Order: sequence, then structure tokens, then C-alpha cells
Amino acid sequence: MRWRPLRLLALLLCLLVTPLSAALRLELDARDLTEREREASQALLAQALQALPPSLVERLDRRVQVRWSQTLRHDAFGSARGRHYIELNRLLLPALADGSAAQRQTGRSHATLERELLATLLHEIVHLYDRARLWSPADQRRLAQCRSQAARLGAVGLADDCRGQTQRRFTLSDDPRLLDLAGWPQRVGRRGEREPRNAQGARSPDVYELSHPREFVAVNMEYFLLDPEYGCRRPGLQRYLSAHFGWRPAHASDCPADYAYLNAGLDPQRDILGQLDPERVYAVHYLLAEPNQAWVSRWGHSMLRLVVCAPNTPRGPDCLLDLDQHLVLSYRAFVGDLQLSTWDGLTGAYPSRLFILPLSQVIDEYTKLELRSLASVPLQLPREQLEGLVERAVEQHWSYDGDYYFFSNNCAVETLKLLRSGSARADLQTLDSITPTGLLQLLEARGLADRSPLRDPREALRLGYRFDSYRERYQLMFDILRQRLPIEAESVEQWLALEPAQRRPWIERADLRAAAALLLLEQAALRRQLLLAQDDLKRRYLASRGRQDSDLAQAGGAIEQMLRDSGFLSRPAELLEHGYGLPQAAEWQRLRQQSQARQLQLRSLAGELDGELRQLLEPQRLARIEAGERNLGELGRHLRRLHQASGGLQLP
Amino acid sequence: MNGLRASLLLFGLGLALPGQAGSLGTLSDNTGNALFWSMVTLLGQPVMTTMALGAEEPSARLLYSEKTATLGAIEYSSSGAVQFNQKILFAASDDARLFVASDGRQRGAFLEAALRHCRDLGLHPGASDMQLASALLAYPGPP
Repeated sequence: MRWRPLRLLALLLCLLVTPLSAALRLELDARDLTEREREASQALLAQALQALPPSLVERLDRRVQVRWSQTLRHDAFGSARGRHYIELNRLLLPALADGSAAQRQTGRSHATLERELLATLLHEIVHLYDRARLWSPADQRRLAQCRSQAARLGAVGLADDCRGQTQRRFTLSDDPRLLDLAGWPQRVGRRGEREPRNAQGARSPDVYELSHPREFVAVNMEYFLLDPEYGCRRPGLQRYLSAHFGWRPAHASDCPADYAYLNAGLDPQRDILGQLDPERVYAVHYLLAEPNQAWVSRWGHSMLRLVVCAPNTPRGPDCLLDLDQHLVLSYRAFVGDLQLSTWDGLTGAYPSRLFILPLSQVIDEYTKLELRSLASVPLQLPREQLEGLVERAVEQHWSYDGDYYFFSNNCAVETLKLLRSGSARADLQTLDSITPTGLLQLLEARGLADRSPLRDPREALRLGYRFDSYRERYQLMFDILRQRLPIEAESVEQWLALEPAQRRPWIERADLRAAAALLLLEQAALRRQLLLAQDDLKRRYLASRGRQDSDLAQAGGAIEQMLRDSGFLSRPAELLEHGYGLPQAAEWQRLRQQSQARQLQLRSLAGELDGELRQLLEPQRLARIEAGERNLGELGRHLRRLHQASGGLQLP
Repeated sequence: MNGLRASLLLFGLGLALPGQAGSLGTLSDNTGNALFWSMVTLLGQPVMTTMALGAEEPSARLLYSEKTATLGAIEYSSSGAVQFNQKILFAASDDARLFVASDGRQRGAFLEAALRHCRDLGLHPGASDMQLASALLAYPGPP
């Protein structure tokens, strides 16, 4: 503390003596330049200085010479040499000097050659800044503390917020937070070591950014400084860079309140292009599909649930029951083939992508089709972290195209990475788990997940903290049925195995409670028949693959085509050729057209297949399915008759 | 059972919707994969509809015909107008069956949401949960 006034005094003296020295100076190497070339170059340098953050100009206190070089590769724009030189490609100088660079389109993302040159100059200056280790005094103190802690305690005893901070060599590009945002997340179980490959490759402004974190920083600074929309397209990075420099460009545009996302849900009434307002998100829950015995689901599946409020519900606990508004963030492997291969799952052959789905669909998939329960555990996130997480999720939805590895990059790992990069919490930096249940336990241990609403099972079901498996429901329905009707079947299995015609006579004899139970069980029976039929078709198709002649091979080929075509739903970036990051309002229109067109195409293909496949079913199977459908129809009518006869209420 | 579960997913997806393939072909925690795309398409439409909508003749319905009726806003309490949303009632059909069959002991969140919706709209004030649940049970599927 004692030396602080001294330092201030020294600083003051410096300012008095050499008022211009504490700043970056760009000097043009004007040898063998014509007058016009020199003027145009000077203008470029002045533009660059003006565009840079004042704090960068101040901290990068050195003289940097800029020269037009004839030795760069013909397709390179520029390069930083050592600490004091930046070279620009001389081939581009004539166009700058005669003014044509301002109009000449390059086909690259900064549009004109002049902007491209300016971006290049900024890019190279940022490299110099990055290499110069220009941390703020507060950062320097923290890094020193982390280093000394690492020396004393070793990597194991390191504080959460020191992970990744002990061997820093760059101002920005090896900052753990930057790496999380940029797409080089920590590898599982490697104490902070980073993934070697950046998987945020979709909707990149310039794929060069993916080559190395240092290039990532330099490329992103180009857009941060030059593109007014950068903050709307890459809001997380914009906030990070603004915080680092204590400044944001004056030209930054205001962003729309909503994020656009591609709704991969099954409800045709829902707009395929969804809009999500982070203000409407009341809470985030860790959504766990409980494990079952299939090899791919023995560990459970982890997802995140966004508790989104309906337009009329004030943000608060009431939003928990706005179930039709809730969304689920789920990393899934996209499989564009009919065979699920264990080997491919282990070796990363399946792409892993972030889907945004309606909650009700996810509940149906797990509880009805897989017969697994879902637990929804609230995460205790301060508002700022919650909104950061939502924003990050949408960014990942548009940009992430990773590989699924069963052990090292599964849903739990992906979800943890999302939580970490979205919330920016230090206590998540050192969490490591490769199983969904393990991750939940760790989150609980850190006080982040709160399981208390699940303690009372009835309340948990009533309020949607738990969604029970239909397996439990079927058993219960069967017990009720046996109490109310003298049926002979002794187990659910036996009841479901009966021919539909054998169950049918009971419909007329059922009272309201029994009829409700019968209906749920009849649905189960029908669903089972459909599964068997499907399984059967799948087996026959896979056996016939390669034999072009069979009807099945034709239908199967069409199905595989549909699977491939549906890929766009998992990789929304494919719908847009231009722009980067989050799509902006101007791109929404095109998005909507594109996605609807593809959807129509899929539907018509599905319609053609429909008839074909029905014909391929074994007649006995088809008869059972149709009989089950008739039972359901009869049950519906019977229930309505009972309800009316008892003078029940009518709903609009 | 493994096979069954795995194919369930597929099937489910498929079933659920040919046009939106959303998850078709996706493997949630990596469950199986899909033939059901096929099944889906085929069988899926009429059947699923039936199941989802509560049992009417399958022939009458198309998967995509579901409509969200907006019967005009009904004024309610202090925080503005709540729009009638038929989907909230449809979504409660399974929970309503469970509630009625179990004589009120099993109460799922979708039913809870539908009951709240009815009360917010001021439908049948004073009706018990059981009366409303049984009205939901008899609620016709979409035309």
C-alpha cells in the first residue's frame, strides 16, 4: 500500500515529461512509397488507432512499424513480426492508394478490400497485445497468487478459480474463461487440460478463428471492433471483451430481446422457428432421465429444463405449471442411419448437437416410450448466471457441432460444459463427472442443485419436479382394474398380451374409474404392437439391405433418406448460408422459409411411405393394430357416455 | 425389454411425427435408432393421434389437424387476460385418466396445470378437482 502514491507520482512525472509516450504508436515505413500511397496508408493507420479500445492503445505502450511487404504469400493480408513490426501485403497497396479498395468486394466477411485491410491491421495489433502479457494490476496479483499457491500445494490443492491460471503466457488467449467461450473446453478428468479441437464451427465468421486460440482472439477482435452487430451475434464474447477493455465500441447496435432457435419438436402447430426471451425464463432445472438397462441409457441422460413463463404469468413460482412453455436443452447424438452401433458410439462417429425441444415431448419420449422417470432438480443460479446460461445455450445451439463419445463426451460432459461456460462460476471449473447421476450429486454437493422439492413424492409429481414412468402407471391401472372388474389376467403383462378382441367385452362393463384405467392400458397395448411391428420391419429391412429388389429395401431406402434429410433439425446453421453467430432479425425471414420448405418436403416423403409400409406389415400384426385402434375408439365413446349420464361438467 | 425400450424411442419419435422428424434419428442418450421412422410414418399418424387425443375413431383424425382454439380472452383477476388454450386441456388427458382411475390419489403436473387453467378462466367456479378431471376425461379430441 505504501508504494501506491509513489507510483502515481512516477506516472504523473512520466506524463509531464513525455506526454505521448504511454501509448501505442503506429509508424509507417514510408520508404519507396508514392505520395498517394503514403497518404492512404497513413489514413489506414489512423483509422486503426481510432477503432482500438483506448485501454489497449494505452497499455500496448510501444512503437510499431507498419510496412508494405513483397515477401508475404500472395493470398495473405498481413503478418506481425516480432514485437515491433507489422507487414501488410504490398499487392493490395495500389487499390488502397487509388481508392478502389473502398468499393472492391473481396467475398470475405468484411466485404470490401479496404475494410479487410483495416481488419488485418487490427488483427495483427491484437496479436502483439495478446503476446505482451498486459494483464491489469488486479489480474497480475491474482495470477501471482495462483502461481504461488500451485508451487505450495500442487495441482490437486489449487483453488477453483486458479485452475488454468498458473502458467499464463498471453494477455487473453490462454484465459480459461476465454477458452470456455471460444470452444476449447476442458477435457474430462485432465485437471484443466483443454480439448485440442474447437467444435464451435457452425456459423463462424471466419474458420481461421478455429485454428488456434490466439487466432480466435485476433479474429474476434476484428468483428468486435468493426461490426456493430457483433454484440448481438456473439453476446457472450462481446461481454467478455467489453469487460476486459472496460469499453465497448460506440457503434454497437441494440439487440432484439428474443433469441431465435430451431424448434425440433413434433408439434406441427408450433412455429418451427422458436423465439426465446431470456427475461421470461424463471428457473433452470437439471433434468435427469433415470437410468435403465439398455447399454446406451444405463447411466441416465442429463438435460437442462428452462422454466419459461407464459406471457400472462408474472415471473415467479407460478411459471412451474406453464408446462406448455417449458423447453429442454438436450445434447443428443444425431444418428442418420437405422443401425445404432456401439462401436461408433465409443469412437465418436456420431455428431453431438444441442437440441431445443418442448418439455412435453421430452416427457413423452422418456416416460411413455422408454418407460423411464424424469427428475427435475432446480439449480440455484443468480439471475445473471441464469441469463448467461440461456444465452450460451442458444449460442451453442447455432454453433456447436461436436462428436459424441460414449465415455469422454457424453450428455453429462456436454451439459457440464454448458453449465460452466454459461454461468462462468468458478466452482464449476473443477467439477468432473462423466455420468449424469454423478454430475447431479456433485452439483448438489456444491449447493447448486436443490433436491428438496423432490422429497415429498406426491408434491413432486403434482408440481412437475418428477414425471413418473408409465411402467408405474400401468401397474397401478391394472391393480385398479382388477379391483373393479372380475378379469382373469393376473399381471399387466398377461393383460396386454391378450388379443384386443378379448379385452373388448370389458369396455361395456366398466364404470368411470375402470374405463379410465382401461384406456391407459389399451394405449399401452397398442403402443406395444406398434413397437413389435417396427422391430420386425427393421429386422427384415436390415437383413435385406443390399438386395435392391425387395419392397422393403425400397421403403427402407426412403426412410434412410428421410433420416438424412431431417438432419437440418439438428444442425440449424445449415439453413443459413450467410451471417455468423446468432441469426439476426433480417435472417429470420429466410430461416422461416427454409425450415418450412424442408419440413414440407419431409412430410410429403412421409406421406408416400405411409401406405407402402402398411402393406409391408404382416396381416396378423396389422389386424391387431387395427383392433386396438377400434378398442380405443370405443373406450372414448364409452367414457363420454358415462360422463354425460352422470351429468358431468362440459368444458369449452 | 432392452430391445423394446430402444425401439420405443424410435418408434415414439417416428410416430410422433413424420413431418417434424425432430428427433427422428436422434438418439437420446443413445438409445436405439430408428426404424420407426417408417413405422412412424405409417402407422404412426392415425394411431398416435388417437392415443394423444383420447380415443376416437382413428380415421377421422389427422395428426396435423390439431388446432389451438382461441375462444377470445376471458378476463381474470388482476394480472391481465388469460387466453383459453385448448392445448393445455389436451395435454392433461393422461393425467386426468390417472387421477380419475386412482380416485384422486395420483395427481400429475399436466392435470394440475389444466385445473389451474380452468380456474384462471373462471370455468365452473366451485367445481371440485374430480369434477373437472372427469370433464377432461370426456373432453373430445380435436375435430
